[in-house]
Formats: sequence, C-alpha cells, structure tokens
Amino acid sequence: MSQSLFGFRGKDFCILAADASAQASIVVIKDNLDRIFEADDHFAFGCVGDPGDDTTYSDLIVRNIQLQKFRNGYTSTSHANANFMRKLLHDGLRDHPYNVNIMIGAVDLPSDMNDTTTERTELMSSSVLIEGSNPSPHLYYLDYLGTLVEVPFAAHGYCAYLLYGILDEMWKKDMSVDEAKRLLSTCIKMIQKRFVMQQPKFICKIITKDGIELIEPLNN
Amino acid sequence: MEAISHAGTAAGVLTKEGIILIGVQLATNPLLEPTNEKIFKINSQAACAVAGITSDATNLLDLARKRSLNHTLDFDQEIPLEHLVSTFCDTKQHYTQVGGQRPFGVSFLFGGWDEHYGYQLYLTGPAGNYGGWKATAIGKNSRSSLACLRQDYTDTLTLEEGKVLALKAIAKSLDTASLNADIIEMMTLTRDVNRRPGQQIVQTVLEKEEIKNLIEVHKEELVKKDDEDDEEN
Repeated sequence: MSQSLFGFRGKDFCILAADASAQASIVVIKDNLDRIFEADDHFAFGCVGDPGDDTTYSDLIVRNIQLQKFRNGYTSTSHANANFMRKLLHDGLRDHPYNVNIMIGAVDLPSDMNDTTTERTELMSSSVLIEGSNPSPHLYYLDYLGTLVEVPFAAHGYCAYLLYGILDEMWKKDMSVDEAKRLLSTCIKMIQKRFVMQQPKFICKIITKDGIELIEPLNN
Repeated sequence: MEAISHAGTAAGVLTKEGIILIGVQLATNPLLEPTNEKIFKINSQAACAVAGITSDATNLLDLARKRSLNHTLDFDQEIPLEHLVSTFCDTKQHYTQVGGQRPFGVSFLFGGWDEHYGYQLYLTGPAGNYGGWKATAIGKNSRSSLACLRQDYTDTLTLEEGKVLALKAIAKSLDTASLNADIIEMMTLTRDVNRRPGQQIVQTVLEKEEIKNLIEVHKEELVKKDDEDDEEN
C-alpha cells in the first residue's frame, strides 16, 4: 500500500511511474528498484504488492507474453495481454492469491507497422490488412482481485489519495510528451511533499510506438 | 484418408472481399429432413467446411469450438485463426501416434478473419498437417476441382466472382452434367467495418434460392467449362 504506482495516457503514448525504494519493515534496503516490467516492445506494466508475489507474478507474465509471441510469430494485442493478466490473478484468487496491484501501459500498432506481420501476410494471402490507423495507447488498471479497467489515468495504493485530485484537474486528452512530463513532475512532487514515507526516487517510463524508454519528469 | 476421398466435395476460395466456403451433400433423399452437414460456424470470426466421416467432424468441431471459447475466456478476444488451427491439428496428430484408437477420418477447410493476418483459408488433414491456401478443395474428385481453381483463380477476384468460381470448381467434381442447388451448401464470410468492433465479421449462409439464381445466371459459364473439360479428356 505504501508503494506508489501511477500512470496516464497521452496522445499516442502511455506513461507509467513507480517509486524506486524497497522496504523491509522500517528499513529502506534499496533505492533503485525498477518495478516497471517490459514484457514486450510496446507493452509494460508496473507491479506493486507483497515482495516475492510481485516478482513471481511479473516474471510469469513477462515469460508468457514472450512465449506467445514466439509461438505465434506476432505480438498479441494489449487487450488480449491485459485480459490474460487478469485471468491469471483471478484464477489464483481462491487458491494461491498473488497480492499485487498492476498498472499496464501499452501501445497497439496497426498491423502494417508491425514488420513481422507484414512479411507473413504478403507471403500467405492477398488479404486486406487492418486499416492503417494510428498507434493507439492503452492504460489498464488491474488490482489484486482481478478488476481490469481501461482508464485515462490511475494510481494504486496510498498515492491514489494524493494523486486523483491532481490528475482529475490537470490531465487533458491528447497531451503532448512535454505536457505529460510536467504533469508527472507535479504528481511526484505531491507524493514527496505530502506522503509520510520517503520516496526520494521514482522510475518513470514512456511507452510509444518506438518502444519503451526511461524518462525524467520536467520541472515547470 | 479413404473416407475423405469418398466424401462430398468441399471447396474454399479466398478473395480480397471475403471468403467463400462451399460443400456438396452426397446422400440426398427427398424424404430426408433438410440439414446442414458440410459447413459449420466455429466462432464469430471463423467457419469451416468438412469432408470425411461426418460424426468425426462434429466431434472435432466441438473441440474447436471449446478451444475457441477457452481462448476468449483467457484473452477476451476471438482466437487468431492460425492459432486455432495449429492447436486443433496438434490434437489430430496425437491420434496418429497413440495406440488403441483410430485417427479421425476427416479433413477441414477453415475460413476466417483475424486482425493479424486478415482473411485466411486453411486446409487440415487427418494426420494433423495444415497449410494456408488461396483456394482449395477436398473430398471426392477434388483433383478436378483443384485443377479448375488453379486455372481460374486470380488475386483480384471479387466476392461475387469468387462465388461463381467456387460453384464452377464444385461442378467439376460432380458426375452429373448440371449443378443441383439442393445438394449444395454455401456460405460467405466478410468483414463490415461499419459494424462495431468484435461484430464486424458477417457469416452468411446462402439460401437455396440464391444458389439456384447463381447457377441460373452463370449457367452458360458453368456448362461451357464442362465441355472444355471433356475436350481435354
């Protein structure tokens, strides 16, 4: 609950941010922990919860998404991946619950932008591909009970109390990257100012059509 | 294998505008209730035509439908066609390898659409082999149908032209001189982008009247080709 994880959607990208400190009881044991896992070129998710559960679950997801890609020769849609993650959490709920909360950020590419797909299709058939639309960003909120919702912005844990007000007020549809970085900075500053735990460092990642990158918040 | 070569012919044609599946019912009797036994829906994006032991086919269809629904349960999305075909064929292959049971005596033509590869047509054999085709045929006299498809298929076919080609291919496989609409099952699978996502694939089973009309309108074409065939022989 004390770990911070939030994210929001921009014009053609998603941003995820998570605090980088690892705690054991009252001791901070690490301040460069990367909680944002990159399961695929355009699919990342942040994972907070019980230590152990979070790594087990994240590893399971990352490997499975990679396996599906390897088997099929193409990347599944983010909707399919997100629902797969939800199903896994839900299946474990009554038997071996994973105590983790997830935030998924992904960008879906139209198939003609996806190299592997184009190659195969030309080889296989004369079919018309999906219409060339723009890359579409998706942000999903997923909690430990298996609640999956696609949202424009979201936060998990205590930081939700602090951030929803800001995001409600400042999040705009079709934000540019710079605007998003400023919003990111505002959010992190608020957590660092008002939250009782110290979270000096955040790891922020942006998911675009070109891949996943580390970014720094932009001060106003 | 033997059962398949005696079963009513089934053919599939892939066009830019959609897929046509067609099948011939062999044993027809005026006393028999009209049924469909050649073409079946699998999910909202895929259908298949069968040739072989029909009871084996229905059994395997159950499996394909279950696989498909299980995928929908896991991913909230229809199963990509190639994925379905490959897992489905794994099962068929399994029966060729384990003792005590005979393999399934049936071939399938899977036609469908998915967002990864667009329209697709797959042929699967009883051994669990499968491949993607632009147009193909299975069942009795499918060689003649294949020859016809090979000759007349072009990448620029429209859906209507595809229907005629499918009928033509089927006509080749039959011993009778003229096509009888009563023994033909036919369906088309197209995508309508104006419908909402998830319901864009339209599967239409052609009414007997419609097939009759098609045969009537293209009568000359269908018959003329038959004559040419005779000359070749």
